[in-house]
Amino acid sequence: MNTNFRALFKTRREQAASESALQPGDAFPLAKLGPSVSVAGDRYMVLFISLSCRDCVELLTHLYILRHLNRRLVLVTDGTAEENHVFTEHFQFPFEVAGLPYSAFHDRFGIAVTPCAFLVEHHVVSRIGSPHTKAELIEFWSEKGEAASP
Amino acid sequence: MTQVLSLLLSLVIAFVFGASLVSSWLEDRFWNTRLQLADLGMLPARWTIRLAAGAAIGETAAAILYSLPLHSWWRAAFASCLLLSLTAYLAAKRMRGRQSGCSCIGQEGFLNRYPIARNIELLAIVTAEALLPIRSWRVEAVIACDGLLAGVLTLWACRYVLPRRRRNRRAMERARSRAGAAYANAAYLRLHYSSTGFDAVNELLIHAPLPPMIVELHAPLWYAEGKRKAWQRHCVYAANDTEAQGSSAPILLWTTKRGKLRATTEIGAMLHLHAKKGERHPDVPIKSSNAVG
Repeated sequence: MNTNFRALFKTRREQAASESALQPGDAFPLAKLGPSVSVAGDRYMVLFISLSCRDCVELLTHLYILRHLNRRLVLVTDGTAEENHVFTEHFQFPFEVAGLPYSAFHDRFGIAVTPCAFLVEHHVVSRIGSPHTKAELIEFWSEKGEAASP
Repeated sequence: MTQVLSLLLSLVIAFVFGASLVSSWLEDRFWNTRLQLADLGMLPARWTIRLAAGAAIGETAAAILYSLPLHSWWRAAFASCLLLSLTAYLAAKRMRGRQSGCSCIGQEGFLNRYPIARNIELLAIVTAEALLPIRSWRVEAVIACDGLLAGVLTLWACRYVLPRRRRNRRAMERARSRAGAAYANAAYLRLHYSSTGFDAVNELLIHAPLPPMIVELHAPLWYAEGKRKAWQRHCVYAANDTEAQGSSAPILLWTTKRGKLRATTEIGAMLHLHAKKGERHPDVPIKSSNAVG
């Protein structure tokens, strides 16, 4: 019997994330994040987090390890502009940060669970996941999409 | 042997419903039930008081019936109908997206964590007790059981319920003195950022015309700082114990004009109803009267 609970829950999370309406191979609708959101490069990550989700808030504290991505990471939260500004300043994130109502996570992007991350390559979703830890964040960004697509 | 088993099963049922009785008197449970019913929006306001009173009377009657030396089908039928009604209410509530419990058996966490499962287990106990073949009762055994029940309920009230009320009142007074004179009579809201229903409360605190409140947010400091800016009408501060369980129920406390402490765990319902009222009278302070209706 598998007693690695973290791994068990990770599998469940990945399954929930894969139930997103967006699937690997679909074009990522970046414009739906708002006109002011822009990214650098052809390979970037879009991470959706809810500020009322404990795992998401804990994940925010680990995001510094992806600081080198700069504008290749778009962080989307359900917070207000002021809230986003406060934590961006606090953690000194260089990322692009966008705010959307939580209902729009599902309505516009079909997100079933938060945190939810999309790896986008050449405007196309190559991987969907729900990273919860530093290691999972690094793995999500570094691994090639086709190897880990749900 | 069957008599002992019957008494033990009856004791369990009487304890659960007895806890409801204690809670109704000491923890505003009756009022909380009415608040929930009103927020559900399925009934006219005048019916909410009748149903809430009916639930309280029914639970109290069940506690009394199961502490008496009775063994009849109508006692089991009464308790079963009551439990089925509460379960149907919970199911209706869940279908409408409300996640919290029914406040049926007070605010005690261990009794309300899984209310539908609890009701089903109680139904099984009621049925099992009714099926036991009992012909006569030993009076001394019944008296001993009732004494034990009264003792346990008294101990529970003195050890947990009353101290909790005192702690809540002290916490509210500390928060008011910390917030300053402008919040001397303000309601005090304590919640964890990952608690159930936080999203709805967040929306209400941002957008609804609520009177200024003191919000003790169990969250990291940077997080509370963000909320302080988002909830500009309210006095927000971070509590240190960020590791507190997110599942612990949030609570809203306030005092009536007469100084009586009111408490509810139905934060969303309370704020929602008060916001409706606030739209008509933006400056009215939170108080117990007229909030439902």
